[in-house]
Amino acid sequence: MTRPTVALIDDDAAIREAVSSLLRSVDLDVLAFPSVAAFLEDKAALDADCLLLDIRLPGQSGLDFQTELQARGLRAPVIFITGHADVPMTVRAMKAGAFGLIEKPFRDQDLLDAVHAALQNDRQRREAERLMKALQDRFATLTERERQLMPLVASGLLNKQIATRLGVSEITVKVHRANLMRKMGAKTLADLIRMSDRLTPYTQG
Amino acid sequence: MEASSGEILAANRAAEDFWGYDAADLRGRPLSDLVDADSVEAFLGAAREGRNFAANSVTIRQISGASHVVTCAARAVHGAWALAFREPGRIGPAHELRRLNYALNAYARSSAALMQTGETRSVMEQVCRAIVGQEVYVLACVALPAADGAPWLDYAAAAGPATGYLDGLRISASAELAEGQGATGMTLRSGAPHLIRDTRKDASYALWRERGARYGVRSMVSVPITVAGATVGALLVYAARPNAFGPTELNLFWRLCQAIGLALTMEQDRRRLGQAEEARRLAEARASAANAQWQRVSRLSFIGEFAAALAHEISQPLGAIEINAQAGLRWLHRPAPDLGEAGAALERIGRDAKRAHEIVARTRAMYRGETAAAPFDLREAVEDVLVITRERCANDRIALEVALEDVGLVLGDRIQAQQVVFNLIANAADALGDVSGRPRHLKVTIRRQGDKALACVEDDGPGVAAEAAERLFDRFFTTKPQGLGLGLPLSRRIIEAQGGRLWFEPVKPQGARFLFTLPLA
Repeated sequence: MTRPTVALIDDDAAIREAVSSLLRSVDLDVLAFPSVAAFLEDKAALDADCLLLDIRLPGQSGLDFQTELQARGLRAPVIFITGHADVPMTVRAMKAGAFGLIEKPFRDQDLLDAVHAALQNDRQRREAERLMKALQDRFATLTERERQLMPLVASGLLNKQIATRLGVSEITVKVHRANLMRKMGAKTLADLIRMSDRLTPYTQG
Repeated sequence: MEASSGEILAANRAAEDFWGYDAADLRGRPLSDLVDADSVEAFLGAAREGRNFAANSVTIRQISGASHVVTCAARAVHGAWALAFREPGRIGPAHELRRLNYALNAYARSSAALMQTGETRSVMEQVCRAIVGQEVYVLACVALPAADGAPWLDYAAAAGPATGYLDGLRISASAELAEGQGATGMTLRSGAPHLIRDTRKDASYALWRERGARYGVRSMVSVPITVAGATVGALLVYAARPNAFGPTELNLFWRLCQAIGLALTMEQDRRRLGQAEEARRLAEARASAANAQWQRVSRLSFIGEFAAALAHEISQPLGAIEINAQAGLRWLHRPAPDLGEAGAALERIGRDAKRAHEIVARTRAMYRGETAAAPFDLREAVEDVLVITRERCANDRIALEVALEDVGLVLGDRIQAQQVVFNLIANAADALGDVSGRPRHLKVTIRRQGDKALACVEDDGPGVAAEAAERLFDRFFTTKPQGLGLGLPLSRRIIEAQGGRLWFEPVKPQGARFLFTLPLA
């Protein structure tokens, strides 16, 4: 398994170096940038598992940056480091989807806990995304008839009922159904029902 | 004169001179205001009986309060009574006295204007000289209470052949002293003129008789000088003949004394004005002290602002030191301690501590007394700043163009000037942070311009909106979300305190240019 990567953005070189060292000491990879602009230009950084940034970045405030990240479809959790967090700022950051807010000066453990929690969250998100992607990929291999069949099977109709509904023979339904179960990798009807539920937003589309 | 009531119907010039009242003022006055009661009674009795009246010793009372014994004759004229008063036994030929009267009259009339502008002392001297212009008067002087509180009067002005009479002359206003019992003393206390008709006979002159004899003084008069109703001094006139002062002369002296009083009043007013002027000057001085205080306070607040900015700056290396220490420990506490990483963290701690020290040193420099203006090499100072800012520019992918002409030495505070340069470069870099999709340029130049050095920091960032440009140097005005709005006003204050100027120019098609001058050493 590859080591998680944290992208760090802070305009102060000394802080950048210190935090980088701290993160590396717990076996995290770090990509450090002095500015948002520099970060956005780095393709590798866009894949980081967690973003750690100063809320008072020059040129563009951290909160604006977060909005931009979302617009770009980057969903890595963001942890803000702030000199003096106030309630409105915290609320804004959280509403904008920040994973956490760490106030300077911070204890190293607090920062690392926040980063680890963010990475854990990111892993789960990525896993969920991976599963969904696999599901969608399998769904993509279905024929028109099989896709038509899937919600009907999942809703618990018998082959006979489905055959009547679709105006085909019961044998045909049986064959399609076997193909559907195989292609989707569903071992039981319950598996297929779960998959159908997950895919609902996509199938309805 | 209207006989039944004893009221005066009309008076001539001679009557004015006699009593000292204007003719208009005399009209309607009861005779009893001017003449002793017995004489009034005698006259009214005669008038009622329709017979003429004549008396040899009628005592008249002048406006000044002085009394004289005169003769009086009254006769009926068209249903009223005409009263003629005459001075008995006047010394000298009548024409001589008339001349004197004219001279003094003329003087009294013309002097009023003079006194409004002249120095009191010179007015007094002119009065004295005018009086002794008549040879019958051998000495005229103005006596005032001594300014130092001594019991003896000072002689503010004197004229006449007998001026030596005043040498060592002791006269007092005090009733307690023998020297206060003479005519002058009484005048000063009562506010009324006093006559010594014959110095050889008058008992109140006994103390000075020998002295008077030496200088040929035979009669004298003291006339009060009043300011706002209070007697402040006396005009003393000494004559070579006895009984030299008739009611007319006394009235003239009285008028002269009023003129002197007026001059004194003027002088007091002028002094009061002077005091008011002095008070105004004092107030101005106080205001200017307040201004200095304000400047001191604004300097303190400036230092406070700077300290706040530096505190923010110092928190960065301190934070880095703390994190480095924690990271260092973690490297050491790993199952296989990483000495290289731990050592690197320690090195960073040392470096950051040094940076913190430098900031503290800069803070100290801000606190030391007045702006220390000393010649320094501007190019060298700017190069030092560029060492610090180059990294930032490189990190931000800003193309830094530097053209530093050797301008020689400028006069100012090196550290403060560096702070300004640093601030302007940081501002430019901030502005360029908003630029994406095209190269970013930052240009730092210095060159000579006349007797000044001109420094310029220019960027091709988004520039400054027109309405923001007007407020760039206002305190707490900022367009940056994290800005304090202090950098530019502080920078301007620093430069102006060093005799330079700092201003902004927009750059076409885009960007901002900040320039400042410093005087060449």
